[in-house]
Amino acid sequence: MSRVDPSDTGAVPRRSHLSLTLWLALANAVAAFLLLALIAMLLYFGLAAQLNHQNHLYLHDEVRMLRRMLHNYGIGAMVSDEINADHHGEEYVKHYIRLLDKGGRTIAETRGMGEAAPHSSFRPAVRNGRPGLDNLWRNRKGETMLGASEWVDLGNGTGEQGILDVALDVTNVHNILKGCRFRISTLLVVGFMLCVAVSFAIARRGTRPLRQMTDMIRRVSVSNLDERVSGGAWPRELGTLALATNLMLDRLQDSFERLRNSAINLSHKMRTPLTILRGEAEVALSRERSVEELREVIVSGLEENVRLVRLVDNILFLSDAELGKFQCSPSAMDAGAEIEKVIDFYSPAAEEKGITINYSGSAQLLADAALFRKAAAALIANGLNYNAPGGSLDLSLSQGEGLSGALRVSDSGCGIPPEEQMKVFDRFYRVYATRHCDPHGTGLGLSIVQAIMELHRGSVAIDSRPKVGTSVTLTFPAH
Amino acid sequence: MHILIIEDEKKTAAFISRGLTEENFTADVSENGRDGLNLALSREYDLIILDIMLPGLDGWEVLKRLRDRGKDTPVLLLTVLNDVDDRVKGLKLGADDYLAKPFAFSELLARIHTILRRGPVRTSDVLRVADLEIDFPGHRVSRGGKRIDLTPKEFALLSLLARRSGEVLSRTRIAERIWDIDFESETNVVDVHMRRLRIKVDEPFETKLIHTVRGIGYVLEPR
Repeated sequence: MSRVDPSDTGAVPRRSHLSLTLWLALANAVAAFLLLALIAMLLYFGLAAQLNHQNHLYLHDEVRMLRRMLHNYGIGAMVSDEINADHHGEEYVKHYIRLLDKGGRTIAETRGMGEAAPHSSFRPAVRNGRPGLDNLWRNRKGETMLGASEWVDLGNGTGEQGILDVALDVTNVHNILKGCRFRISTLLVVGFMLCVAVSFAIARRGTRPLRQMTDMIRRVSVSNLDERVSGGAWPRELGTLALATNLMLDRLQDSFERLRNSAINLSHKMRTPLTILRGEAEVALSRERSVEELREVIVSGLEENVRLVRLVDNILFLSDAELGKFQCSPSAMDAGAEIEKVIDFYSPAAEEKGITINYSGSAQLLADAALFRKAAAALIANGLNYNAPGGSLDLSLSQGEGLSGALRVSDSGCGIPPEEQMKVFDRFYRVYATRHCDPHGTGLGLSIVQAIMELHRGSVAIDSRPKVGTSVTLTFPAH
Repeated sequence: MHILIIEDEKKTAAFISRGLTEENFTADVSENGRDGLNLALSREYDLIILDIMLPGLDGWEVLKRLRDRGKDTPVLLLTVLNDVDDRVKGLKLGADDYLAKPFAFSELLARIHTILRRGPVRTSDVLRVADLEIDFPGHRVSRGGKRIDLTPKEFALLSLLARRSGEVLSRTRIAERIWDIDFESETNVVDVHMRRLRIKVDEPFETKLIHTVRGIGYVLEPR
């Protein structure tokens, strides 16, 4: 028996893994955060692209409009209406216009444009009336400018060419995006913390039944093996676990009770021989005894000792069989030959008691020969011990399909009352009314037979009528 | 014959030692593994009876060190553990035999004799004990020249007793050896077989050869 340090129970195994709660919470938080970040990015870049597109459209609309104006009304109208028009800086997107002659000299420009958008900031204009190339830059005042430069017809049918520079101050638009970026970053930071917090809460809530179950299982000990994992309202996955745990506890409790009963019975069984040993020795020593008297005491002590040893051997056999530690090696064997060996052993004793043993049938069984003989011997011994002189003991073998078959042992003995028939397989159980038949029996014979049949995955059936007789049938499966 | 008993349980050691002395062995007792090992290494013993559960140095260790030092004194292990694994372990470490507690003294004695016998076992075709003569190949038994008819099982039973003449055999061992049955019921079925054998082998004759040793079993020997 291995010793268990009480402080070990319930402790976390040394190689501990990440806690399930932590794992679930982190995984959930990361997943939620990634989703949040993705949505924020999509929204931001969508907005930025849209605004930029609008800026470019606006710029080219402006250029187209000015070109038409030049063409229709000439430079003078344009300079007074557009270039020098005072907008008081109220526009959301301020625009600057400059007109240069084909030598590159400035004809006119919006006030402040030389500083905000010098001609050198523009990409050179392309000839042939193709639209100018847009350029985005930041001027010395820190404003963001978008501008394009184009060749234009200076108008009034003169055919004179010049250069038109148009620049938009898109600082406000860029500020919108900057603000947007800031808000999104803040949102992501707060969102991440929120994700972690909510995920932890979810994971804690999700693993709560697990902790409750652990507490319940931890409470189970030898003194309250009847405790079960209760509550009923478990999530489905844990419900299965709870059920499995309860079934395990059922089996444990059953085994434990059997073990306990065995221990109680064993100690009761041992009391008799121990009392005899002690009593006889004490009485023998209480006064002077002859050698012959002392010899009697010693012999009697030896007999009790043999009883004790046999008891221990049988108990060990049963517990080994029950724990599956027993070597059972079934092979195809001639059951008849084995039965004959056992009958050969018991027949002189049967003759002396005036009991006839009849044997019929034959069978090839898949069984462990030594265990088969042991079972048969136990049944025959019972059949002889609980039989009346002049009675009979009938053994019959029958072959089933393949290597399956059955052995039936029927006696003409005193029989077993119906209410006691199921108890005879219990360890140490002896039918009270008939125990005088075999005063030194251990009451383990049928338990051993049952254990042997369990090792063979077979079955035992008992059929008994008081004053008529008992028959026991062992059924061996074909496997 | 000199035997060393290494056993910490005083009463067990005492009864083994006494029983062996009465069988004309010389027996030394050591109550712990360390002293036992020293004795075993310093003196020449014919056999060592070694308990496995010993304080300090246990039986396995004693046996191992003994064999490591090149001592090949025969060792008979005594233990309360009757596991196949333990038996195998003991035999692998160089033990000659293995006996589980509780054991019958007669069985211990029989095993000691078997280990000490060494050399060829009596394999003669004809075995004689007093005027009893058993012809194994011919399956014939006679006493004082008079033929005795036995069934095959009776012949096997008598052979077992005669081969181990002088050795007390328990009922359990007889049932195991002759009938392959290790289920014992209190009816003492073996007694009935022995009674029948005696009717044929002893009853018609003056000197009795088969004797009951009360509480233990049976022995075949001239007395």
